[in-house]
Amino acid sequence: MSDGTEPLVAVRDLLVEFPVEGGVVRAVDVVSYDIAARRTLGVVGESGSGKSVAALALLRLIAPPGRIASGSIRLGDLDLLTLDEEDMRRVRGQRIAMIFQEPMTALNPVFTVGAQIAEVFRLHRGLAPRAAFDEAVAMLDRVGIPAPASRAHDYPHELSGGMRQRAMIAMALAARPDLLVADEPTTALDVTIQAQILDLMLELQAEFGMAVLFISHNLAVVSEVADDIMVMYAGRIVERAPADALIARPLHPYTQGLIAAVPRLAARDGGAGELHAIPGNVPNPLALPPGCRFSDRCPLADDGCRAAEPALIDVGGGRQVACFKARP
Amino acid sequence: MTAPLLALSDVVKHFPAGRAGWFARPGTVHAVNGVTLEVGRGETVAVVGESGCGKTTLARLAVGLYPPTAGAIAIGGTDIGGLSPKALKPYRRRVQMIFQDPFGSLNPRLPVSAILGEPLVIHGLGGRAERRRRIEEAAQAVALQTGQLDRYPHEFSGGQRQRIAIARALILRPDLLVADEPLSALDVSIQIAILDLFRALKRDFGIALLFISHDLAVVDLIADRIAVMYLGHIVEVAPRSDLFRAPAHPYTRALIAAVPVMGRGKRGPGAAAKAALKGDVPDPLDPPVGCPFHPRCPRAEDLCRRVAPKLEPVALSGAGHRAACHFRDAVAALGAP
Repeated sequence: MSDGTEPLVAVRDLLVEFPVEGGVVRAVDVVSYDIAARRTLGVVGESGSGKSVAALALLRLIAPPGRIASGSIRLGDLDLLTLDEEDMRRVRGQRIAMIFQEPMTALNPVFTVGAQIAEVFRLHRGLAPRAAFDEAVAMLDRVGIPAPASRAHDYPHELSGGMRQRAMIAMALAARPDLLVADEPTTALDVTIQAQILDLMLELQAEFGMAVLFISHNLAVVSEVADDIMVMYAGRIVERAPADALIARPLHPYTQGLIAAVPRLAARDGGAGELHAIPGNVPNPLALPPGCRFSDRCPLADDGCRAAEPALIDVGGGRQVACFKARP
Repeated sequence: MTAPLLALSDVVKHFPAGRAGWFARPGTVHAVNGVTLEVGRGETVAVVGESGCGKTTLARLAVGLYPPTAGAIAIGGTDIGGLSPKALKPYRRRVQMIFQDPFGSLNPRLPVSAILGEPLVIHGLGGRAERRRRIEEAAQAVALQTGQLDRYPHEFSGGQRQRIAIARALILRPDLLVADEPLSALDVSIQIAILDLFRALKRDFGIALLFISHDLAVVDLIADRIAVMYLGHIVEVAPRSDLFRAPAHPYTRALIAAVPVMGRGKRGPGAAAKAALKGDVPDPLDPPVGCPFHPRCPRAEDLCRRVAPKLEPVALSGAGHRAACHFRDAVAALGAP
């Protein structure tokens, strides 16, 4: 992004709305961001921050009555929001693939994992059935599934949680996408399995060269995989920075609060012992506080913060922040 | 010496096997496999482990939701195993449970005051005025406003609901709270507030806590002692500082190493080598022979595949640090991972 090369994905002024009883929720409320090729952008936020909706919008998978109300999403030369459904289907899988927290949402329970991955090779690479199945087995082997030739004949429910996650990754990467969207991919996993999956994702990224949009509520996990981190709150991006800089010197009071709330192992990582909760709750999306959306929970908020909403501005060093009080 | 508040002795819980119907595969799930653990008055004991290790079953055994298959569970020195439901009631009052999901564990049709008052009704405690007083007292202990007592669960956020669940557990003035992953369903910014609440209950009321969690970083903030479970066994138990300073079981080391670190930067190839736990937890229907951890253990030797190690003292540490590993002293000597 900051090195002057074209971004792989450019999202501009994206607005995603969901009509609900009593109004319209702007789940993603006019946000702009870029994803650089071959890099990992981490997206952090709590429930209701809009982080998952922002990701689903990239694939145009917003379930009605929700809709992308305005904005643009460019992938290279393509303007994704103007493609017809058939072209968009080709983009999904071939150019952008997605993995989820719960693999059973992506894997079809009535087909074997080998057959499902082979289908990707047939559809997107035009391989014959036999060759496609052989490629599927090779892919299962590549993601670290033991005895892949026999595992390929298993149904998803016959695999353990970690193995299912690996199978889903194999399917997502089968068409060699330019961008992998990973929405809480390790949240349902145990820590030792989470470590395996994070390592696998980093290895495959180095090998296949795809960009990754890594969404998680867990800042510690994101900090272990991301090059850049974007923090979302109540539908807006409040801060974006290179990962190390964001953790070492968060500029937005919400980011500071999130970091102060992450438990660390005192004996190993030094650390806190004392943690600080962010007071209050995430605001009701139909009754956002006036001005800055974080102002009702912010220790620094003053009348200016309650009067106007700060824009996300560049503050140098590849960093952006939306706060009147932030001093780079 | 007075008896510990809660004492589990060689507790075993087996469930009849999983698969029924067309694909029947008879067998027994060894959920808890000979666990001995005590919780003293005012003490916080954490049980950590990954899914399927038996920690939730252990919590449910401790509050009497399941009868054990074998072994004894004693509260204040009385074995509750042989008691009739009626005789059990006063013991149930002393041990209360808090569940992970504050959305599923509160009756949506009752206002908060009725949810909090229900245990008093069940146990036939107090008259109308006394109940009202205790409801307000419990609400105050968890920082709920009196004005919120007439509202219904759906009007509250996840963190607030967990406060209601804790208030309901407190209303019987128990000696011990058993909390099964009480933070896992909450947002990060809310978790710490609930954790602080548990610490305050311990400090202000001297309540003992059996805290079940998968998250070592959370446990580090609250536990006096920590027990690590794997496949139905306690593989290591130690005072908190000993466990992190000199973990004596390879599984504990792997668990600590797998906790993500903030501020270390991106995982390098080194991280992979350090995590170094290959494979999955074995099928509890078909647990391995010998040490339950040997199929994933980087140190496993022939002995481990034949002989299951017992939970025994770790020479390097003080009393109370025990591990079930043939090489516990050598592992502890490695220091913090």
